[in-house]
Amino acid sequence: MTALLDAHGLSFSHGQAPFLTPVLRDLSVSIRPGELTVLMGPSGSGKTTLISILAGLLRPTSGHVDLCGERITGMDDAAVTAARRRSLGFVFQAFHLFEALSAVDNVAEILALSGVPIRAARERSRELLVRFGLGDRLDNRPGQLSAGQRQRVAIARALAPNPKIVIADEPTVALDGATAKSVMQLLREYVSGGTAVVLVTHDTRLITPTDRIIELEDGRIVRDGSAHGREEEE
Amino acid sequence: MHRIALKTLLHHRAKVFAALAGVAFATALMVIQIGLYDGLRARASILVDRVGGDLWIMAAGTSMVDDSELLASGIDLRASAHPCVESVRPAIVAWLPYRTPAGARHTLQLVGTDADTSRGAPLVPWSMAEGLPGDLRGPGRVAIDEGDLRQLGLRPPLMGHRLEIAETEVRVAAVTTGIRNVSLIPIVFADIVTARELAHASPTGATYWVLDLAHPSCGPSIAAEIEREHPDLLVLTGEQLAARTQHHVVTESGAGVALAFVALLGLIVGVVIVGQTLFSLVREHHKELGMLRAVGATRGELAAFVGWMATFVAVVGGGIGLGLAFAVDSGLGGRSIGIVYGPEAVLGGLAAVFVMCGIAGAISLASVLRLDVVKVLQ
Ligand SMILES: Nc1ncnc2c1ncn2[C@@H]1O[C@H](COP(=O)(O)OP(=O)(O)O)[C@@H](O)[C@H]1O
Ligand SMILES: [Mg+2]
Repeated sequence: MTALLDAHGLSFSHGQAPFLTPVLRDLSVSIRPGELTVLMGPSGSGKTTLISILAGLLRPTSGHVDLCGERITGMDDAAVTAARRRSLGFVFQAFHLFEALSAVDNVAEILALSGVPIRAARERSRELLVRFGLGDRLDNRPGQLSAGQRQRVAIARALAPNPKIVIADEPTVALDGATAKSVMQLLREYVSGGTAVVLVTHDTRLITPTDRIIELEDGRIVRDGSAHGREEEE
Repeated sequence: MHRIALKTLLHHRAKVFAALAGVAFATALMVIQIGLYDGLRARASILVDRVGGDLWIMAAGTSMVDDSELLASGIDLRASAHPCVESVRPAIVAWLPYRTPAGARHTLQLVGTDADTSRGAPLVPWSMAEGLPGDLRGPGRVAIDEGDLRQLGLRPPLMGHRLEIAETEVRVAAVTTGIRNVSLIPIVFADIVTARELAHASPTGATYWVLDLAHPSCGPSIAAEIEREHPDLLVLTGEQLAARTQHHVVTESGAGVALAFVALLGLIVGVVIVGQTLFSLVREHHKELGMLRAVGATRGELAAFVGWMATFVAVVGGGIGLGLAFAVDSGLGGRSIGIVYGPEAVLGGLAAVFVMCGIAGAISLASVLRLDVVKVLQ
C-alpha cells in the first residue's frame, strides 16, 4: 500500500549555529492508511516536533515530507496550509474548543472553513456528535461539558472533513481511564475505515497488539513494529 | 470566519462593552469637534454668505469681515459705471460703544445694509423672531437678537425698547433669533442710513461695497482694475472674503488647534481602548487560533478573525458615537453654541472610526500573523 505520509532523513534543531540543540536526527518514517501508529518515547524525545514537521507546521532542518504524494517540504505557506486542509485532522491534548460556540458549531464552523455550506456542515456535525454519544449535548458550550465530552467534540471536529490522516498529540492525558478508552474506541473505528491515525501517548493501556509502535529516544527511532512484536521482545 | 469571530467577541461581554464605549466616545468626540469647527467657520463667514454679491470692495489689509474701516466715497459710482456691474450695495460693519439702560458700557457690532430689498437684494437680517427686515427702514431703528438680552441689559418686551448706541438713541424695531458672531458680542442690525449715522460715516459712506455682476466671469478684470486705480483697496469675491475670514478666525483664535487637539485625544483614547480589547481577545484565543492554523486555516482567515471583530466594533461603536453626537447637539437645542454636522463631520467621524479600529486591529493582527503554532499547541 502507498504511504499517506512519507518522511525521509528528517533532522531538526532548535537555535542557531553553533548553538544548535538537535531534536530529531536523521529520522525516516512512513504512515499507511488504516494503520494506528502510536508514537511513544520519553518527554523531550521529539514526538511533538516530529508530528509538527509531518503536518508541515514546522520546517525540518534537513530531509523532506511527502503528504499524500505531494512534497510539502519547501512549499510556500499557503500551499502547505491547503494540503493540510485537504488531508489532515488534528486532536490536541487540551481540546482547543471555542468557548463561545456550541458543541455543534465547534465542529461545523471548522468544517465550513473548508468550503462546506454552514447548513450542511451543521447537519453533518450533528450526525457525527450523535454517533459519538453527544446527542443530548449538541447545543451545550464547552464549559458545560465534561473533559471526555469535550475531547469527543474535538475528535468530531478533526474527523468531520474526512481527513486521510488524523494526528492526535496525547489526546487522553486529561481524561480518566474509562473515558480515555472510549475516546480511543472512536479513533479505532475510523482506523478500520481506512483512516491513518498517528497517536502520541504514554499510556500503554490504550495499545492493542495490532497497533504499530514507534519509539523515539533522543530524536531517533529506536523501535518500529507491531505492539505484538514489542511484547515478544520484552 | 465571521461567525466564529463575532460569537467570540460577543461572548466577552465586558470587553465588547469597553470597546464599544471607547469607540462611541471617541467618535462622538471627533464628530462634535469637527462639528464645532465647522460651526465656528460657518458663523465666522455668515455675514458674507448672507449679504451675498459677486465682489466685495474693502480696505486693503482687511483680514476678516468683522475688521473693516470706512472707505473713501465715490468708488461706488465709478464701479457702477462698469457695464458688467448690475448693482452696487453699501454695507457697514463696525464695532460701536453701547450703554445699557443701567449705565454700563459695552461694545456691540453694528451691521448696516440697505433695508429696501425691493430690488432683489438678500434679506438682512435673515432670522427674525419679531418684525421683518423692512421694518428697519426709517430713522433710529435697529434689530437686536433675543439671545443678547442679558448682555444688552434689556428686559422683554423688546419691541419698542430704547437703546443708546454711540451716544445716539435708537429704538428696537425688529428682533432676530439665533444670530451670533464668533466673538459672541451682541450684533445689531440697522438700515444703511441709520448705520451711517451711528458709525459717523458720510451719507454715502460704507465699509464695504458689494457688487452684483451681470456675469461672474468679469469679476477678475473688474477687481484688478479697481485695485490698480486704488492701491488702498482690496477686492475679493464673496467666497474669498468668507474663506479669509474663516481662516483668520480659526488661526487667530487658536480654536482650530484646540479642536484638533481634542479630536486627536479622542482618536488616541479610542485606539488604546479598542486596541487593548482586541489584543487581549486575540491573546486569550491564541490556542484556538493555533488550532485553526493546524487544521488548515490560512493566515488570511486568522486575520479575518481580527478583521471581523474590528469591523463590528467600528460599525456598532461608530453608529452609537454618531447618535451620541447628534443627541448632544439636539440636547443643547436653541442654546447651541453652533455645531454644524455637515458631511465633513460625519465623514470625518467615520474616517476616525476607520483609522481607530484599523490601527487597533493592526496591532492584534501582527500578533496573529506571528503566531507560533507549534509553541501555542505544545
Ligand atoms: N523553542 C525551543 N527551543 C529550544 N528547544 C526546544 C524548543 N521547543 C522544544 N525544544 C526541545 O526540543 C526537544 C523535543 O521537544 P518535543 O518535541 O516537544 O518533545 P516531546 O513532545 O517528545 O516531549 C525537547 O528537548 C525540548 O526541550
Ligand atoms: Mg509533546
